[in-house]
Amino acid sequence: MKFGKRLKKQVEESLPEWRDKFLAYKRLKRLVRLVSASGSSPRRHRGSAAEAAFLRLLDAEVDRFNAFFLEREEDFVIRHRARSTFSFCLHSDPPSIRELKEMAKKVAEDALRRRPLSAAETRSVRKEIVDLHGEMVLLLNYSAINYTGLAKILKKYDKRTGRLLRLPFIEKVLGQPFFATELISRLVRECEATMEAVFEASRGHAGASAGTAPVAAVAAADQGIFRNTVAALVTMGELRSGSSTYGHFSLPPMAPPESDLLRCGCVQVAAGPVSI
Amino acid sequence: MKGTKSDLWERNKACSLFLERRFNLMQSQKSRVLGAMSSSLPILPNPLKGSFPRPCNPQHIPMSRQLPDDSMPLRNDIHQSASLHPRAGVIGAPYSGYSASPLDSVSNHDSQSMVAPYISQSSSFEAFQSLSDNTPGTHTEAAWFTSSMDVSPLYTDNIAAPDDNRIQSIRPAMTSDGTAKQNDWWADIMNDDWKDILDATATDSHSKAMIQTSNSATSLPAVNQSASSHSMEICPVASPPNSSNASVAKQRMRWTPELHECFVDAVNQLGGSEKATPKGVLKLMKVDGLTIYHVKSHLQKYRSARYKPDLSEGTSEKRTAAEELVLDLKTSMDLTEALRLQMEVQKRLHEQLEIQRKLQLRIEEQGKYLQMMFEKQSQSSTEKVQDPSSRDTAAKPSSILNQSANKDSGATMDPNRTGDSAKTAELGERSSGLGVKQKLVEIESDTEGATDDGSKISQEKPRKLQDS
Repeated sequence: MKFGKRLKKQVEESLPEWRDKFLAYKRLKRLVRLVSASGSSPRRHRGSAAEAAFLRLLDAEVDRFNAFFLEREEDFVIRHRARSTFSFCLHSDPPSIRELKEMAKKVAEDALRRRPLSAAETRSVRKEIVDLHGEMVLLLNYSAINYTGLAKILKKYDKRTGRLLRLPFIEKVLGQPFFATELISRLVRECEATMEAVFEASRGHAGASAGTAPVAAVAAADQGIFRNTVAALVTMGELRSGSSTYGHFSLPPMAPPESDLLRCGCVQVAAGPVSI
Repeated sequence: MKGTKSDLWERNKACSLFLERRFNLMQSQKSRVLGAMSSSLPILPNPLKGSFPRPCNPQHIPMSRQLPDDSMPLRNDIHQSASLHPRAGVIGAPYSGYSASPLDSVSNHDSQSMVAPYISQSSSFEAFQSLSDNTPGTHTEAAWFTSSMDVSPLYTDNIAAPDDNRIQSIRPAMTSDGTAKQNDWWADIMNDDWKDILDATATDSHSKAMIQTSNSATSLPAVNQSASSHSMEICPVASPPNSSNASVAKQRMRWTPELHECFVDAVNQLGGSEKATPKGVLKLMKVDGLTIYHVKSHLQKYRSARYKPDLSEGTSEKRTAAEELVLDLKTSMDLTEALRLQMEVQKRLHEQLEIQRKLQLRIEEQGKYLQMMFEKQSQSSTEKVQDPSSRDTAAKPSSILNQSANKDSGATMDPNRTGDSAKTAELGERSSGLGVKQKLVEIESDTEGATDDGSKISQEKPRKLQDS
């Protein structure tokens, strides 16, 4: 029950187009209840229909995750590359030969724009990188949440029906594309490196950063990603803080989040869509 | 249109006969089959070969790829058989092998080329899917589960009757060797003709279907057998198999950075994202298994992505210098801070996700190990094994659990185990974690009259190990 509620909360906080892409946990749970409710011996007749439906739904869900994940991943690959190429132009990171050729072409294309960036442009570029980074991390979170949900529902199923569905199924899940997140992780790290470069390079003309309360500066567009990220962290902390059914498959509690970091984040989230 | 359809039909017939012959050939040795196939396949002329430098090398799969240890034996065989494949351009392998690669061999350019050869096996799969009179849902679930050896016996009862024949035919046919052979066989069959045929009939969702998963591997044997017996029933290929959406949806195209790089190169060679056509890009990329639908959708995304950064530059140009000055000083500082904060939070989430993922993987590994031990245990306990040996075998998994737990998260794992063993769970077909724990407790109480307190177990085991 707790996971279901938390999942719902997470879904609510997520980006609009992601809302229906999460695991249909409640529906699966209902099916599990149907299966076990039909009794042990007449399982064939009524329970088997529920079981078949359960399996079908599991399959369909995994498919859905794969589809969404791959589509997003493709998008990120494109944007990441476009962004990296662009940042090379800005901050003279040593690009590879291929990148140089790319850049040369781009220079030819965007001859008009070859001038030092204004602060506004720098801002928007930085914002884009951060947003891209954020979205990628959220995709990782998506994958993790769905995996957890699957694991939980399988555990419930095994418990109720006494079957051994969990182990083989979860093994297959481990091999699914939506769980194979190494690529996105790598992109995230590369993004972080790019970010470092961007911030380093432009730290000079940003002036003395006065550490003012950045509430007002959190623009509407940021709100979605930022909120979602904070919510994800909070949810993860809750999910891992305690469980009534510890087992070999339970994760240990998360290290307590740095309170000031999250508090600041929560304040912003609580402040709501101020500037929208 | 009609002309093309009849052409396709003709080619279908030719291909189906071709398939039949191939199927008979399968009885012979693998290498011989492969040799025969590669020589007799119609090799399409590649006019661009000389003129353009090859942007990428998608033709070879690194055979020495390290598979994760817990990959199913089926997949291992597929990879091994792939090493014999002369063309090595197209191979069927599940995702787990591919996804692990970017980390394993980061700097190896060749190794990244393996992203390319996703067979269009699913295309053939689609074709034969239309043969089945069953709803794709049930067929899907049949395919999904038949590859799991333990579980399938439980589900054959639940699956609707018409499927039963197919299921029965799947399982006997599914020796990993045989499946691997058939994968190679299918891989060879896939040439441009097939792609064209199926592109003409495929809907949008089908165009995404590329990747060979173990599912299609298991469903192929059934498909083959039906193909051999009903060669003439391949005709439904001409009519769009709209029912096969669900099952085909399993196989997906994965755009990796390397593949994307290849794509960008091709686009640039053709003069930019505006001028490039999907067909041109497809030909330039020379990646096996890539269909024009993939390229088309990818090109679309690429174009819109390129416009966005340009747009953001464009709009910000509109501000006057004065406005900029006023706004910049204040907002850029604020924004930088906000961005930095956002970045911090995101980095932290990423970190936590990574940790969580590693833990989850390890937990699953251990779960499997425990399950194995449990099974061995239940076997040996029925034979009334002596106490010392059973104690040893029981001590091992929990000590491993202890060690890794201590490595990861200090003593936090122990409270978990305490809580768990305090619950009484029935032995037998319970989830392995609980079952083994209970078994361990039992063994403990047998041998030493220990209590059910898990914490005692966790303390005793290391001690015992030190003693013994």
